[in-house]
Amino acid sequence: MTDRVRQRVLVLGVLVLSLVATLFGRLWYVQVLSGPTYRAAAVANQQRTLSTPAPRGAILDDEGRALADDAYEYVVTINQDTLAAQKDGGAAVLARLSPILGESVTDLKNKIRLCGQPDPKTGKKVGQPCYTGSPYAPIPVKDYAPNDTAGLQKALGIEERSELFPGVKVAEQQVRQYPYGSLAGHELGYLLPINAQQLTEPQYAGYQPTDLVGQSGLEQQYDKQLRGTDSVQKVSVDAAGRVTGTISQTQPVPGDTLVTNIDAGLQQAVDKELQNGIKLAQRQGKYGTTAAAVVLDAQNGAVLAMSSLPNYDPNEFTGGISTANYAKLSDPHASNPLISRAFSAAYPPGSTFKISSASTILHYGLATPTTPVDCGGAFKVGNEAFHNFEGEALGYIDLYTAIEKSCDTYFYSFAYNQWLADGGLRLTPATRAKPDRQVFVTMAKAYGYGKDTGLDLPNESAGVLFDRQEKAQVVKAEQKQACIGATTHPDDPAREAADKKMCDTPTDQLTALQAGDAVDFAIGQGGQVNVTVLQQAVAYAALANGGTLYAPQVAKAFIAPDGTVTKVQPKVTGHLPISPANRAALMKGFTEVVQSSGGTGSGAGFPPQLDVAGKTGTADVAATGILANQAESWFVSMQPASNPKYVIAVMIEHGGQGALSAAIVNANIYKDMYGLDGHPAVWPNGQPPATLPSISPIGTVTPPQAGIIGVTPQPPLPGGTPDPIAVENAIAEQAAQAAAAAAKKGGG
Amino acid sequence: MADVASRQAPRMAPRRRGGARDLVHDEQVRSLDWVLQVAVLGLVIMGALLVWAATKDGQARAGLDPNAYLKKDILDVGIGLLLGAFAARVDYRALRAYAPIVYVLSLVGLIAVLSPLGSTINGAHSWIVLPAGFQIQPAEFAKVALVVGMAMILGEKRDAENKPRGSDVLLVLALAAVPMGLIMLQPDFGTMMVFTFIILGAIAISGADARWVVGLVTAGVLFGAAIIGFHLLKPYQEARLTSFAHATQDISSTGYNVAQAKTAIGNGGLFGQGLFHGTQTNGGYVPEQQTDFVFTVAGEETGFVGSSVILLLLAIVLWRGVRIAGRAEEPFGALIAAGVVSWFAFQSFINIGMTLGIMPVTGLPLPFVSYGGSSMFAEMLAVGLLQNVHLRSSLRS
Repeated sequence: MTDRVRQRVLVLGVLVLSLVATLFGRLWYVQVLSGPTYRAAAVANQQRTLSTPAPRGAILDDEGRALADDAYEYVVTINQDTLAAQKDGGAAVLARLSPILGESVTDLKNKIRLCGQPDPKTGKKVGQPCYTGSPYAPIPVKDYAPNDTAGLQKALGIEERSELFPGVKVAEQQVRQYPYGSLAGHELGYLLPINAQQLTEPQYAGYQPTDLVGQSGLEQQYDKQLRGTDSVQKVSVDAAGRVTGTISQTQPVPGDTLVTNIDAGLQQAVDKELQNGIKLAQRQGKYGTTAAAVVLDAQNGAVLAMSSLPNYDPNEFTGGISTANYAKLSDPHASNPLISRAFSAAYPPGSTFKISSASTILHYGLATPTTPVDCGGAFKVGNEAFHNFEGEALGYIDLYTAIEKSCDTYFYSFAYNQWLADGGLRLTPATRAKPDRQVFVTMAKAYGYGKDTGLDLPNESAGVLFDRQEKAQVVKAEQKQACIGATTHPDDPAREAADKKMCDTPTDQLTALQAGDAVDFAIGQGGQVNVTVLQQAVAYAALANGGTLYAPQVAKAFIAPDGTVTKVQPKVTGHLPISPANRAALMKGFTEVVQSSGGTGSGAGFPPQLDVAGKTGTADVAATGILANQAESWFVSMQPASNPKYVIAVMIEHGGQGALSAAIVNANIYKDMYGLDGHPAVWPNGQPPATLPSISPIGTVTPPQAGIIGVTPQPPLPGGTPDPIAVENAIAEQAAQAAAAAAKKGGG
Repeated sequence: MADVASRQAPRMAPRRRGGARDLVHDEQVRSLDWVLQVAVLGLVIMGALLVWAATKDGQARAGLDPNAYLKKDILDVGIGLLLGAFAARVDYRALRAYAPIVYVLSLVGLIAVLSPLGSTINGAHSWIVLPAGFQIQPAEFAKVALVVGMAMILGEKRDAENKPRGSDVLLVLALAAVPMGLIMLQPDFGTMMVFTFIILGAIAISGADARWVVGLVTAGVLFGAAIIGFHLLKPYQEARLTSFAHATQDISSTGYNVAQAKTAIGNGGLFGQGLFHGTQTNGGYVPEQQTDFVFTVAGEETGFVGSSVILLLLAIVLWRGVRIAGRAEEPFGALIAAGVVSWFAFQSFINIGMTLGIMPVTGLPLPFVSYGGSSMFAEMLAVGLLQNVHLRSSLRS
């Protein structure tokens, strides 16, 4: 051995040592310094979360009747791994299963292959048909509805001979059902899978992408309370996604039972009376397009019934709704049954708005109840004559009579004078800073118009209520749009011309509140005020109970699985600035509407012993044209007038005179409540139950009172003739939306 | 060892035939490099456990014998030890006589692999499948043949010269080129790299002029650059070679292997998840985990501490190899030892380096630890050769 060789051996040794040292360094870096990062990656690799929904809480009416509850359907599932582990890959099992389920073997195979996985034969990723759900849970291939007894037999047959069907299981799966069909469908809402947008919202934190959530009504409003806590199972999986074990599992906590203020018997009666009301209006040559009614407890805002026609059956949403069915439920040709006309749509209130105008006159001292005011056949504003209803002239009358006979011209003079005092055509008066400016609007705001009532349901409409400045803002925005429209619709010269005309009009001229608008406003016409039926019920309830505005509430109480009861407390949202004397004067006027022989509501058939007070409304929707005689028919009542317990608001869209349709429906609802004039009584003594239904630990519900009316499942109830203008508008809007979507698609 | 050796020296004088054999046998056992041998035994025992840990869950899931790989590994180790004992006992100078035969046999094996007799596993045509579930990977044995063949030529007794002639170096390169070409055809890029390092190591230790070493390194670098630059490799190979540099980009293929391997090792932390308790390992996330990626099992289940033991044992084997090379009486012995050390060192570095994401992914086993008969046999033969060189030098000095 030469020194040269020894030297080189030494070099080799050093080289080898440096290689080993490099590995040591890298090993330290990966395992110790970066360990936590890789550990997290390993956990993410190996854990999957499976959540099973807890039993959803039932929704009961005030008598304990289930408006919504859970049924269990039978689902046949296949565990792919177990199937694949068969000698023949599961071919024999599928062949045996196929005739029982009535599905071809090919269909079954397609149902259980996982989307996006590489196909073992071609290596390509599997596309539809395939299973899009979690690969860690058994795959459902067939389900049998709760009432499908033949299907149940089949499912149980498979379960009994499980040795013939390795990997096949029959599982119960909870489905939401609404036993009374369309009854209170707008209030109950429905469940649909959570959407991508919702998953990003904080209120849905912790929800799984496969979760069903309430997407409307009480189901949406109280989703958290109703759904309880899911059972969460953490499983470990291997590289192929096979479940290798359970890491942890939590027990589900069932959701709370929701007891509503709604009474199914009353709701059924109101639905029926509205249907009759539409027919009644149609017999009088009206469309009777839609109809809505609200029955409130005047003393606390409890919603005892809230009905809107046409309606829909929320059961249609269970298990998912097809696009075609959904389109049917939102079809303008069928007046869009999904929309509640009780709280999601606003209408001109007509003379029912005089509650606010009369309050203004008394509160701001424009007149006393007994001040004689001319009720002429017409009131002249410049060249334009504003006629009394059917040109009737009553001479000089007091406020009581003005309400009783619903004289419009009485209100016009006060409104016109106030308009002058507020500055007339000027946006704001040049001089004077009197605090009682725009008093008619101020009082309307105090009654809660123009804003949400605080109803505990989603999609409430705030209605419309503008003062001068707000109207100016809206008009300015409209003018801006018109200036754009004037040059962007070359295919529609008529529209361009109209837009150009508006664009060229001096803005001040457009924004000015016309005297005609001001007088129209006082009688609930002219587009400056639109209200929901619910808002009108809340406003009258506030006057009825002495001046307190309550948020209308559908929920009455929550009963937890352990029996703990949480009552929903009345929620005060405002107070009316009305003195007891003025209130008494107003109540006197409203009482005469029904109880004086000349009152507009006197012929509607209100049982005299019930001491009903109220107000008619006949809201013209257009002075001329196709809807000229198709006024919205209103009646709002308070009962008993001495100390009102109930407020009932009824509106029939394009139903004609309030006295001739809505008032009759309103009276009939009282007959149902009290069992008068041959109407079967909803309650044994005309009173809703004083206590809550009780629920035993095993879930048996005991009603709080006996002798209540029976309720039967209802099919979806239709409305009347659709409003042709609304249909036209809806179709134009749909076309515009489709065009916009297409343009966006093309542009993007 | 030196004192033992010198004490034994006189009795070694009649070391020729007959009786000498018994004497050698007896003395050999005592004079073995036991540090080397114990380190190797430690590695194969750990290897068996890791192979078992890597395979038992997957086997059980597939409804097969969970201990099948463990049993086969133990059998491989047993056969390997016998082969090693044989390699340690033959007079290594007799190997010179056999070297041409060994060389030709290895060429025959490599050609057979390319013929229809061979099988393709993981894209490389490297295996000959025998009955009863055995497979032979001739390239593993070719490493032994290369070490012995190079030692024979470069260690040829030189009179006045203390370095091999240029013609010897060229002859070595020519002889090495044939098996390398055959391996290139499989293709087995990992083995190619190990071959290159064996040749470099042997030529360097032979005492050849430095320009040879420098020239060969330069040629190797240029060749490597050309392979990548002109896309001479199959796409999957190129992907494997380059993916370690951007392992996180492609989680679906080769990069996935590297990412999962690093995840498994990182998941072990300082003390590991415990033998048989590695979640990445039991879940089957790391491919080829009983063979090329066996180090990830050590990383996850025994942590930094356990992995360090493997590195340490490998370091001991290499240290003893270097030591044997340095003490070899003759160039032939030193060259054999140097060749084996180069082989083990670079193969270990490439294998562990690839699981740690600092070396390209190539299909090389981790010496003594990975599952696989051919590699185990070849490595045990190589250890036997080291022991042989050790025995000869210590007994004679």
